[in-house]
Amino acid sequence: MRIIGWTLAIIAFLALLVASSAFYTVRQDEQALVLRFGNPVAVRNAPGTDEAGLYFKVPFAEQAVMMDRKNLGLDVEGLQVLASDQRRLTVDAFVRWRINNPLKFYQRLRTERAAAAQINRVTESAIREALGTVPVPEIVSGQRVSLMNRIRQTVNRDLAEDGIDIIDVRILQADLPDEVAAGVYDRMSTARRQEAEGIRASGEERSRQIRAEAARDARVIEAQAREQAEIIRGQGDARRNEIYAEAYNKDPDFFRFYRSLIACEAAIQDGTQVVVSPENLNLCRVFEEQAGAR
Amino acid sequence: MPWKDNMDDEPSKMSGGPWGSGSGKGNGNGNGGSPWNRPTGSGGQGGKGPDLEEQMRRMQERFRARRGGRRGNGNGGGGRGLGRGGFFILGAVALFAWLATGVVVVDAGQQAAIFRFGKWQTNFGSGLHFHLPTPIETHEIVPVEERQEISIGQTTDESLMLTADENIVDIQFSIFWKVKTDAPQDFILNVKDPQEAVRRVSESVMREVVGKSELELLITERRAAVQLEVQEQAQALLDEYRAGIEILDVQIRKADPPQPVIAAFNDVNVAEQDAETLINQARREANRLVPEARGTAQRLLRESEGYRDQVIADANGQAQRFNQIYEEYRQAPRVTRERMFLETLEKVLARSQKTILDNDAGAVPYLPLDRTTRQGGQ
Repeated sequence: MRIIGWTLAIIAFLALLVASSAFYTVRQDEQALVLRFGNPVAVRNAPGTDEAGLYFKVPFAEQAVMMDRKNLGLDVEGLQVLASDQRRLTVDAFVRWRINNPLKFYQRLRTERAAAAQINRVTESAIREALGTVPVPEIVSGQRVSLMNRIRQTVNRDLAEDGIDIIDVRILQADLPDEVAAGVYDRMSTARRQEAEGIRASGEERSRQIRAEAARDARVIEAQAREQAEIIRGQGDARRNEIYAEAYNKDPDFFRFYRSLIACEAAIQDGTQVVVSPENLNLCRVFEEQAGAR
Repeated sequence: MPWKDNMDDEPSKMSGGPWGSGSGKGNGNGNGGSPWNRPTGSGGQGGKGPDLEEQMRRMQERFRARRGGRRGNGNGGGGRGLGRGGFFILGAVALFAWLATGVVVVDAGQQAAIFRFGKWQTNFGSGLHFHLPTPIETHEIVPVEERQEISIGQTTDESLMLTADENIVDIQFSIFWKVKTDAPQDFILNVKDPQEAVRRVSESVMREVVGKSELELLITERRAAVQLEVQEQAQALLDEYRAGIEILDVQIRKADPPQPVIAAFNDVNVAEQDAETLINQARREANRLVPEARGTAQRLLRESEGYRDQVIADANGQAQRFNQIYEEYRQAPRVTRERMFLETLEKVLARSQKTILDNDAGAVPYLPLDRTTRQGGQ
């Protein structure tokens, strides 16, 4: 009884072992290459197919090599590139890739790490080549997208035999090296200072203009007022003359007498020295005579 | 006491143990509710040993008798019988445990993607769900509503970007994303390290967009447009990768000139303020000057009007006076004339210093002309 039990247990264990090496699952995000004693016999769930599931293989004789089927990322960093206008750029990029032919991939590269090294190498040279044909402004803005496509195509072509599909190559940074960046900063600063000075100067200009206009307006206003005032005065004077003429014309002779009296009275102030001869005391006749002579 | 747990779970193994009662409990389904179920374990080791042992032995015997009656087995076969039943229960428990691996509880805002031998089948929304047990079907729970944030531009290396006019701008932004509600399987299956992919894609798109616009616009009115553009382009790329990711929002936190030139940029603002100040000062002066001039003008006008009115009034007055005197004079011309002359003479001489010379005196009139002029000058 005991021996039978033990035997059964061992058999069950062995069966399990065999079963576990006879079946393998290929997840949807994986692909598998089946090797029979190193000889590739099948590919499961390569991109473009839909073969995820449970599979049988001959235990021990066959081996399933699992590979990733996902979209994988890779960074290319700190690449020094000389643009066609002889200016240097530091370029970072990233590559999205995937294994699209497990057999070729296994034969050529085997591991993702080896693949990454290979892609890195190819991409770097493709970037250098592509960016070397255009000047910096084209890299930064103008042709960025088409350059990225060109790089992708180049890399794809170079890696076609390695079982790798390059989904995308994108330039992350395309920056000027630090010493050039310092120059850019200087230029930006001076441009801004210049702008600031311009703004200040135009403010000054405007303020002077405003002052000048105000001064002119003030002058004009005052001058016009003076003009008006003179006219008004003139009106006053004219009216006075008219009034006088009207009154005095009644008797010009009497007016002369009357007016010389007033003048005499006004001319001789308090304490004025007057030299008078007795026969000639009628002082104010002087004025009368003078007024008459005029 | 690990023992006791074992007894509960796998009673069959205990059949040969020192505690016969254990087997009694495990076997006797009808006795499952017996009060001795629990206390046996602990009580047996406590001080009440003898009493309990006695009771148990009796109980054990009763069971044996009953089983013996039913199956007709001897004592020797009792052990095997117990073992078989135990195996059955063990199997049932194991089966149950295995089936339990097919239970999924999906929280609100999550989706469970179900895979059969690694191949995606369906998604379960929140709630309790079942799928075939583990080696056949597996599940992966993904939060599909949770809003995730990635900040880019924390370091100067990341944040400095070249603009179209070859200036450098300092940009910090955040991307908010989540797993697409209807496609958690894409999120799981298609892209390795999706978070990093979102980050890389967004940064590269941002640099592309920034590379196409000018610094001046970037730091002022084009911010919103840039956000939108980045969101759209990044989304398009991720869709191309079938990443199962939805970009909710791109927010530019900072878009400034870089640190070394910020002073110069600020100087422009300061200059604008300065210019504004100058202009305001000038306006203030202008606003004072012109009304003052208007005031002066008014004064001049009023003065001249005053002059006019005064002159006219004076003239009127004098004319009136003359007229009146003239009226008087006309009635008696000679007398009035004489009188007026003499009165004036009197008035004038009365207030002046007089030097009266007698013609017949023969003296040479010596006039102190210097004094007269001096006084006259004063």
